[in-house]
Amino acid sequence: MKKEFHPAASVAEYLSKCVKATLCVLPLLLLLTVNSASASVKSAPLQRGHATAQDFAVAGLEAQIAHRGLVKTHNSGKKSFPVTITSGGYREVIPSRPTRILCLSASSTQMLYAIGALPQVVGVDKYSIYPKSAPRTSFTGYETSAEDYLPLHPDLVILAFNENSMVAQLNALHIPVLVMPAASNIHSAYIQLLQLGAATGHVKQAKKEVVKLNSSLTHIALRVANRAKGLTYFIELSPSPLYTATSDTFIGSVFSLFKMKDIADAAGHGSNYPQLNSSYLLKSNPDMVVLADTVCCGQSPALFAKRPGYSVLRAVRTHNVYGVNDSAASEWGPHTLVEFANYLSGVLLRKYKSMRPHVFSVRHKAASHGGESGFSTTKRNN
Amino acid sequence: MEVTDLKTRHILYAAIFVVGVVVFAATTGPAQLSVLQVFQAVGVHLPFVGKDFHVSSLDEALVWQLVMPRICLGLLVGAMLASAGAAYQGVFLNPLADPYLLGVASGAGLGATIVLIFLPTALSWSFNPLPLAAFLGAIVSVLLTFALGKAAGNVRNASSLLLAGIAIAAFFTAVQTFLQQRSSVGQIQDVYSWILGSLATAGWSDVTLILPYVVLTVLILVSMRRLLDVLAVGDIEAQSFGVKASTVRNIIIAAATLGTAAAVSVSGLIGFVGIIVPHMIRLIAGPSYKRILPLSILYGGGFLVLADYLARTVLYPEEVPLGVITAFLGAPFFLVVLRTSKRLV
Repeated sequence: MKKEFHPAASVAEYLSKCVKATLCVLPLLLLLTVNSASASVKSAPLQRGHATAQDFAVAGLEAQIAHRGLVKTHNSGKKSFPVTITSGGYREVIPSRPTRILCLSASSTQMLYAIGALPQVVGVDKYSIYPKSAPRTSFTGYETSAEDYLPLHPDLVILAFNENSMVAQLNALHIPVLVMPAASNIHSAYIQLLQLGAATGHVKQAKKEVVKLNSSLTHIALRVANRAKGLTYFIELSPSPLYTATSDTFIGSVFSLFKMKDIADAAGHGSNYPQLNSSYLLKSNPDMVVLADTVCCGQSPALFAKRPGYSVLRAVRTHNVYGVNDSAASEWGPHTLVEFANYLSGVLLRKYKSMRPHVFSVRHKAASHGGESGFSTTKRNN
Repeated sequence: MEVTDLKTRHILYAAIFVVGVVVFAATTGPAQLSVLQVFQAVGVHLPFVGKDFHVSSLDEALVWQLVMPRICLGLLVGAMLASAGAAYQGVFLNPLADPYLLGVASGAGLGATIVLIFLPTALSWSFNPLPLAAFLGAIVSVLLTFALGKAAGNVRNASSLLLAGIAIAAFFTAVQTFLQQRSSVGQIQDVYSWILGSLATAGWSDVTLILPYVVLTVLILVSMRRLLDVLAVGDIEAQSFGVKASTVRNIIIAAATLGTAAAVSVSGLIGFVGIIVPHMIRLIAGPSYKRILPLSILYGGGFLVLADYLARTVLYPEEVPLGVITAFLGAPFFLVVLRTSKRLV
């Protein structure tokens, strides 16, 4: 059977592909446009036009959400509920506006707070430390039986992962459950905010929050502008074995705001959290090191410098090793995000010159004080 | 005379293999340094001639602080595990015996798990308790194995000791699993990383920490190589040669366990080396422990340096756990051993 050629059908197919491609790329293009537009104007009075552009960005995100079927309202969208949310590989119908939410993910707790859904929350896990007013419980999210959650009578449970087949267990008890997995970049965090907005009846607030968040990040990036462009960094997630994160992770995307380069990108063959070779770290010699293992593993810049061979690293010599709370790498809520981006921009603004000893005169100054800078040839004194 | 010549020749080949592997691993690593740069970086640390070498501080740190401790530790741990494996196989007359047989692995694993879960910030202490905890865990489990074996009957009977080892290992593993189950994902990852073994963070302090234990153990095992051959003919026959089998057996087990516990405490549980290497040597040099033990020390060290070289280069710049490499090579070899074990022992 020879397939017949129908010009009309081909054109329709072509147009459909174009529309799909545009829908996928549109939000990113809009966000990029917003960022570059605001980066080109350096002062505050741009707010009015800027807000409009941010709104377009949200519209782009919504188009993507609709296209991928991540949020589906019934009754042609006239009523907010019931709503179907697809997230983390699970599709869940939320029949009515939840009033007893149990949130077992610190990042989702931050998002619920940001969109004004906290009054509907009856319990959060013990790792949800922000906001302080959140009704903390002793739950960890690793509970083996859904029975443990029943005393709170939740009408929506939010998880970060499906440990111990919790989704199936909660479904069997007819309790709606949302899995909001670790966001791989800022864009995914925005989508989760909008999904949580739809799931809790706070669609408008969620949109506002995305606009606000995007605007904050744009301004933070704007402060640093191109000063950190091309600077290399290394994020440490555990010292032994040496685990790191590539730029294709949430924490990596924060560094990307400042156009910095992750030395681990060459290593992310199978995982975005590769175990790195120490020789490679020395050979790559990053301009900046961020230790996101200060809580789990008690690391500090001083301990980092003491490890075998690390004292020659440029970041150690220029005092550009920074210890941050582990949550910077493990949480993707708006509060953590803005706080870390702010911290990073502050460091970059203060220290970017010292990170580029080959461009600025720091090296010469250090040399004149008898200090050793860069990787000069050394001679052993016996 | 002919035998001695053959033995010397085997030792010479093994020594060439070890030197070749060390030079290869030091000079062809992913750091892409030239042979000259590597020799200069090492030469800087040599007495008297060090002053004449000039090398950048980065290259020096790469070679001397990161690569060389890994190679030296690989030599020590490999030599220790292989010779202990050979000794265990001789003592228990079992070709599949390995250094972890009497509960060393489960005891060390439990010790390490306790530190990783209850003292998560221990890595930042000036004194790292992890190797000590693993070492103590290993020693305690083997002592319990002996106590249980004795209570069960006759320590001279190797099978009661083996069964006691299995029981103790099962118990310690159960405690370890329970602790893991109650810890966080990050801690479980740390425990598994330790179990899979690694030389990735080796420093000179690790080398100096286990050096005395390894030297002592290796000396004891090598000095008892002839007695191991006598044990192979059976306890009663050994008695007729004037050898008290149970005493010899206990000394060898104690020495091999001490050395293994020290090796495991810094490198984690590296599997298969204690089985692969002695059997490889049996295939090359025959069943006599006079040759197997010295050759196990050399080939064991060389093999582990080679395996570690693969661990740090196969997916460079990523690291592959060393235990994965040795098991990957070891598992197929294990099948060969099973098929040929009748001829080997």
